[in-house]
Amino acid sequence: MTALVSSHASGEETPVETRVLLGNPTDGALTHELVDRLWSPGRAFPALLALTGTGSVGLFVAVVYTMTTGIGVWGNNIPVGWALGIVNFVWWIGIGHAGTFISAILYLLEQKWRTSINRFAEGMTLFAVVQAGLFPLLHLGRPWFFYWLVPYPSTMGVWPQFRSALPWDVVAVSTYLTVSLLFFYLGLIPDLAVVRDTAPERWRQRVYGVFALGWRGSARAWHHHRIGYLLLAGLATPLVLSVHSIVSMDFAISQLPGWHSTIFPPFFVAGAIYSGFAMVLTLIIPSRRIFHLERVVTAKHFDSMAKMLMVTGWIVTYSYAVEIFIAWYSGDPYERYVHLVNRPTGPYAFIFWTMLACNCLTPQLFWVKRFRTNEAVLFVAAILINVGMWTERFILIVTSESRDFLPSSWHLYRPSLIDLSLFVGTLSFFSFLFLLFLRFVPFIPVSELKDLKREIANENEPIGATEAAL
Amino acid sequence: MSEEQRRRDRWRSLEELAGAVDPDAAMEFAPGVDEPPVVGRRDLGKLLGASLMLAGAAACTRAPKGRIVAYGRQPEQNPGVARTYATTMTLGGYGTGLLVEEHEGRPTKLEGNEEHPASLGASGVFEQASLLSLYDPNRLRGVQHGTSASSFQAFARALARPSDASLEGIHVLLEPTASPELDGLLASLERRGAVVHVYEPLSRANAFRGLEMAIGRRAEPLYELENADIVVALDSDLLAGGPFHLRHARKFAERRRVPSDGRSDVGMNRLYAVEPALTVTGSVADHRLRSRRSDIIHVAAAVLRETLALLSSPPAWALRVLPSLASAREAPDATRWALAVARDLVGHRGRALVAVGDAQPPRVHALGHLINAAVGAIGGPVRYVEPASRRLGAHTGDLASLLAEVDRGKVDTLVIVGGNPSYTAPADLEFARRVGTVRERMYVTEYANETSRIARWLVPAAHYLESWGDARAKDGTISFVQPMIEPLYGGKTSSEVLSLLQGEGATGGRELLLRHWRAARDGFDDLFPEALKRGVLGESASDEVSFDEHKFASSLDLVFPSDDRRLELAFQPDAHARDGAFANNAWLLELPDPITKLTWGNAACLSTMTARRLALRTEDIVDVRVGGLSLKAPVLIVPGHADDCVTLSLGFGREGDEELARGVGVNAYALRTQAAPWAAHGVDLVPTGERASFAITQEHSAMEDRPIALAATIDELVRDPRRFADRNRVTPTLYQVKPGATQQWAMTIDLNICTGCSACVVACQAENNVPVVGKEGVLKGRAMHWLRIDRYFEGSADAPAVHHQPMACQHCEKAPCEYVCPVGATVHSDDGLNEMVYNRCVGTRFCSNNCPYKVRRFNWFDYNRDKPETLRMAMNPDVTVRARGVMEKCTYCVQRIRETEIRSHTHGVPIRDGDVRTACEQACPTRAITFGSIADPTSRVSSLRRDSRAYAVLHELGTEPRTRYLARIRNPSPDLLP
Amino acid sequence: MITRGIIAEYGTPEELVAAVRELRAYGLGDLDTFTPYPVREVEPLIGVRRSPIPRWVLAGGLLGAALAYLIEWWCAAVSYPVIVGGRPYHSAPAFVPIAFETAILVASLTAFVAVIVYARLLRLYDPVFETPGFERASVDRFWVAAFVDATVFRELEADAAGLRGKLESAGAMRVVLFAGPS
Repeated sequence: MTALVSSHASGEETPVETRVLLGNPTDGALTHELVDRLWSPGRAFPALLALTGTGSVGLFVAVVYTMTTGIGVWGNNIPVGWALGIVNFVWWIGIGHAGTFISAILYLLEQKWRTSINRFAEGMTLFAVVQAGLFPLLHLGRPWFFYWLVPYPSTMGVWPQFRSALPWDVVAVSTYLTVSLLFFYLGLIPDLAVVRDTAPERWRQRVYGVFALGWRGSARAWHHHRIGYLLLAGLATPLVLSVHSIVSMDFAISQLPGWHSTIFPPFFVAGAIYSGFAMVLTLIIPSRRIFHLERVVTAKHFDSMAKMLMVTGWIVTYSYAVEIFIAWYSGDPYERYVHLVNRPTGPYAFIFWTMLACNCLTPQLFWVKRFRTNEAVLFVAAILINVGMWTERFILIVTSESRDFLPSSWHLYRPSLIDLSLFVGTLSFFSFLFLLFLRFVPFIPVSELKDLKREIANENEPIGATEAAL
Repeated sequence: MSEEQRRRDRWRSLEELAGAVDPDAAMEFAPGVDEPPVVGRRDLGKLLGASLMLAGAAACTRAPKGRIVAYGRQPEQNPGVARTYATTMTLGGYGTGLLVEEHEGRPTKLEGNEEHPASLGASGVFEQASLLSLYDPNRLRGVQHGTSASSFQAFARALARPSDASLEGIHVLLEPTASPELDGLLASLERRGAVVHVYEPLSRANAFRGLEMAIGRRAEPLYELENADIVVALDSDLLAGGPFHLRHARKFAERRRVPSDGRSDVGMNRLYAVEPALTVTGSVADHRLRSRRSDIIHVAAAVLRETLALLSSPPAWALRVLPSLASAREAPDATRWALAVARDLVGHRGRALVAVGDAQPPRVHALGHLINAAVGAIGGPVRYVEPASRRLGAHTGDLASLLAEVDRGKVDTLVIVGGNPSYTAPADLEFARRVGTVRERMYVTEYANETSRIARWLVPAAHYLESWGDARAKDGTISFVQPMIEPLYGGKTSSEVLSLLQGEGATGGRELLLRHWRAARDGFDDLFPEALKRGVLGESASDEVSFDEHKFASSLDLVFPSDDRRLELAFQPDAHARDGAFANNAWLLELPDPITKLTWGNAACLSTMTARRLALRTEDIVDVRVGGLSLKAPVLIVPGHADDCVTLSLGFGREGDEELARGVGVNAYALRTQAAPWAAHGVDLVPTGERASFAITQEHSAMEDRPIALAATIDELVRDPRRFADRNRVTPTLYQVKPGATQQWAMTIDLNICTGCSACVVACQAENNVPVVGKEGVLKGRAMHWLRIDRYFEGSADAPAVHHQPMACQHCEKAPCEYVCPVGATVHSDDGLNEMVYNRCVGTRFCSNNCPYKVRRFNWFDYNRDKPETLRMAMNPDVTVRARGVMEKCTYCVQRIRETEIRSHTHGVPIRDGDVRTACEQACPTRAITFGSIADPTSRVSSLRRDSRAYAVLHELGTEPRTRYLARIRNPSPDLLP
Repeated sequence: MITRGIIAEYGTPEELVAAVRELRAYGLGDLDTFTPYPVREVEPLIGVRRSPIPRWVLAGGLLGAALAYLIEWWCAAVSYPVIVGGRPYHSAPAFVPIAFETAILVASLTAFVAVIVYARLLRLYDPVFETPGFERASVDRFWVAAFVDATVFRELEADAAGLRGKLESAGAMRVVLFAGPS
């Protein structure tokens, strides 16, 4: 595949890879370019939908089997009480972090390159969190009592136990899902109006009209919308940091060697954003090809995301180093065993080294500018990082559990067929939802892009989101 | 209405009820009995052996016939309140007194009877597990003739003989018995021409013949370990196997306790052991010498030689043996060892003893007794008494002679009572083939097993909890067997069957018993109720035997076997199945072997070095070939195993109708011959290239230098009595929340006297309705035992130190499991228990993840769904049966605590120390487990927690466990210190 | 009631701004613009006041936090105090995460609802929709509307050309007088 740099080198005054929007289309042209595909899906679409749909059915079957037969159909045991279920949970919830990070934090930081990919990332977030939420439910011995984690008044007169991190988790994840959805929808309203107004058939106009909530684009509406959006961004920023911090506390509040670590919250957040960006790339690179988004998803975007991968990748690498150093420095025999013996040389050593290779070496590619903008390299790297982050959660959870304090209770864990089909099933279900998203939702924020286009046009008087809001 | 009055009414009504029930009537079984059971998708049903359902059995009370008398003083019957009765379980012919806990007519738990010499209140794994055998749905139901169902009346017609008819041609084959009643019955049959044969695979013949060689007459040796400073066990697992092992363990432990200040002058005993494969006894020995079974005779001779050499005035008989002793060729390391042992023995004259195992040839037993005589043990810690019965210690020759008679066509009717000779008889006897020629073959058995194939008549045998009878202990003490429940499957006792030959038709067991004893003792009817109540007949122990010192050792011709360096095969009784009698008992099948922690099967055990020499790994399947016989068996490498020797345990590889036993393990009897019942030479292990998988509950045996099971030598403790103190102090904390009830429950476990025998594990399983998960479950790491025994090896793989550490919920005051539970399903009670609220648990398993002791168990499936009705009857009604998806764990037997509290409340008497005993504590033969309240500073548990050896496992985590351990103290001989 | 006014369509934001100035100069006060994306310059001209939403959000956040913490404290320390891992009944640090998350949750919900209310959404019909070509207001056209009462509307009808001329000279592609029920 040819690098974007060359493919768009059409002698414009500024070097291509700094542009977030190529060419100079009229508002109308741009609008139709981005919206019209909603009426004409590609040929591959039905096939893909069928494929992922089948996978989702498989997921459903595995879920029903687990619920009816018992959690014993998984490979879990004592000591490994949590295994793939929680690995997948943390992996998915981690992926779900890039969306809000891109939309909220980059919004506050006024990063122009955020604009054309943010809704894409938000969609990914929503669907990833849905997958994530499935596992804490499923891994319960008695899932039908999950609501006991919520303080509702009952005749039992007993309440959740708020010292445990699991109720924190419930609140954090459900809050995250809700706020992500609000944020996503608030940003979507003007574009839904666009679709309403450009839809060919009457019924589409009606349907989208309902979802557009009667948006007219009035100046006052724009003003309040902008403020509200800004506030949500401001709220989502600490939220996105807190959610994975709380997820990390599921482990950190315990005293299991390898879990009981104060570095976990920042370490987890960095890892989450790391894997999130990797997943965004995994999804956007093919989509860009399929939907011809070269104009709005440019080398600049790839370049910036690659840089994000480097930063977060380094934080993750640093965290690994600190964990190991502290384990050695603490002199605690159990910590030392986990970090210095069990993980590097134990029965799961292969997975450990895979993790290091994928998570620490891969981002080093992006020291080279050419790689930062080469779709092929980026795609492969993104896949590797996805794999790496999954193995990280596996190492973290399973190695620590399988060999803890008393050697007498050490026991290895092997995933069962159901374990694996659940994971594959969520991958399918995720893709399924994402395909529907691409099919029915304007996944490139049209209005924001037009706004951005104008902003770029008169660079001489830049209008930043924040400044305008005040 | 007086207590007595009330009793009589109750009993009369029960007799009527019992009279109304005719055990043989087919009507007794509800419709559907013959239909196969519903086997659930999770084949727990199969696992627990669901065969025919005894419909409604769980509900109905099956009160036994005849008046049975409650143990001690009991409140009047009261639904929900358990009552206790004394009875006797017979194993290998010897009786052990037990107490049976009974709920509404269902025996639900067995305990030892403190008044019985063989029990002293303790019980072993087989005693505990025998309860489950009672309810085993695989037991034979009803009489069978050929392939068709028949009735006991029909059988009676076939067997009965007129009282004056000769019984020529009638042969009876039974297991050894010391039952006076049965003995008398057999004698009367013999007088009329019947021939009685006795066979048991784990025969004590060698012990009797060896002692005969030494002292010139038949006698039973008794070992009184309480009087022994030095104990030498030659291939003898006297602490966990054989008659009186519970007593041995108890008395051994009494001399093992170390006072808090660790003074060395308390005469802590010292145990030496020589054995091929690690046994419980060898694992707690201060010095253990691994040696092939056939080489032990040399070690024994060397010890005797050195002992006599050290004696200032050797006994007269020494001259007879000394010459031949010179030709003992023990291994070089054994010489040093023997010298040290001899020094110790002589240094403690009159306070030392040698015990020899039944697997050793008579000569070694003789040598052992000579050593005992030389060091003045006889009359001291060793006593010789009259054998409880002449039908004990039968030799294999007895079975051979039966078959010889069969071949000569002298046998018209063969009545096999109990046992399973087709399976257990030496392979070269070809028992099953040869008895086929007998005209009438009758078999009284609990199961349709290998032997039932060759029988034309099958009669269900009564379980001892369904029987009337009597038994004698090793020391001769007489105790009675009283039924707790009407035979579930119409089972008959040996006497009930054999009495048919006396020509009075079918007679009830109780009547037979009374008839015998009324004849044997006048005024018996006055003694009987008291004897039933206490479980023992007073003053019934055997007399000591007298023998002539001059004839000592005269009949002993001491020749040593030719030196055979080829690979040796040694047979062992199995820790789960014993000789095969318990091979269908789920509790025992899943009970980890005390040493190998192997469940659901047996293995060919090898030493590391031998395995390396033969290029074998654990789980390799080899073809074991010896003298034309062969058997495929999986290899298991065990530390501390003797080189050039492979050990196989008996009792597995069953092919009968017992559903659990079938296909589990391999049948070592296939390699056993008359000539070599305990050790065979010239064994070849031929790799087959196949692999097996072992369900082992503990995969990692090294302690990784972690302070888990602490140990020290007595000298180290004396030098530094505070060496464990820093692991016992209260860790500083910011949290001041403390439970405030008047009782604060706690437990201590003394690793110094824990032998790892595992009786506590089965007791816990029986008391708490702990489910069985099967081989697959164990392989997946899902064994459910609330109490497990961790076993660690320390040091070299050849001579490892073995540490046993019972590990159950530690009931931490700062419990890590509690604060991570999202729904408060595990919380702390006001009396210091870490409580598990099953019906609040949603099953996140976070508690287990955060439990540093990993003692929590999870219900991965609905383990009780497909449980057959009969097995449900074994459940303890005081303990919740856990649902699928919830966590469970040791509760300190909270049901017993609450029961005691209620009783103390209703009777207005305060709870005293020792009123509450947990199931594990009650079963423990050595009393290593102590339970009580630390709110009372004078309680045993409080003082033990102040002991210098007391410590908390993983103390540094600050969990403040309520269970404390007492470090193990070894007492090595200064001569053998490296 | 009847909404009356005049509405004009422009091709660029700049023309729109000029038009707004024209209308103000003409003396019409109640103005609004309809644009595919925010044209921030017009906001001061048509007198958009600072949004009150932030105050609401702050209140919502504080309320959520307080509520959550109270529930935790009441459940653990008042309603059913039981010893858990030897921890204090009122384990303040452990109660913080949920309080924080709830604050975010309630604040966010407030923000969303506030936008819908203040932006006058959920009205699926508006008289201005009747204006021909108005659907391009969300695509690439910029509309400005002046809302007037009946009398002024009649004056506008009387002298249409004047204002129309002004607006068209500012680049209006179309100027429409409208009146419709709302």
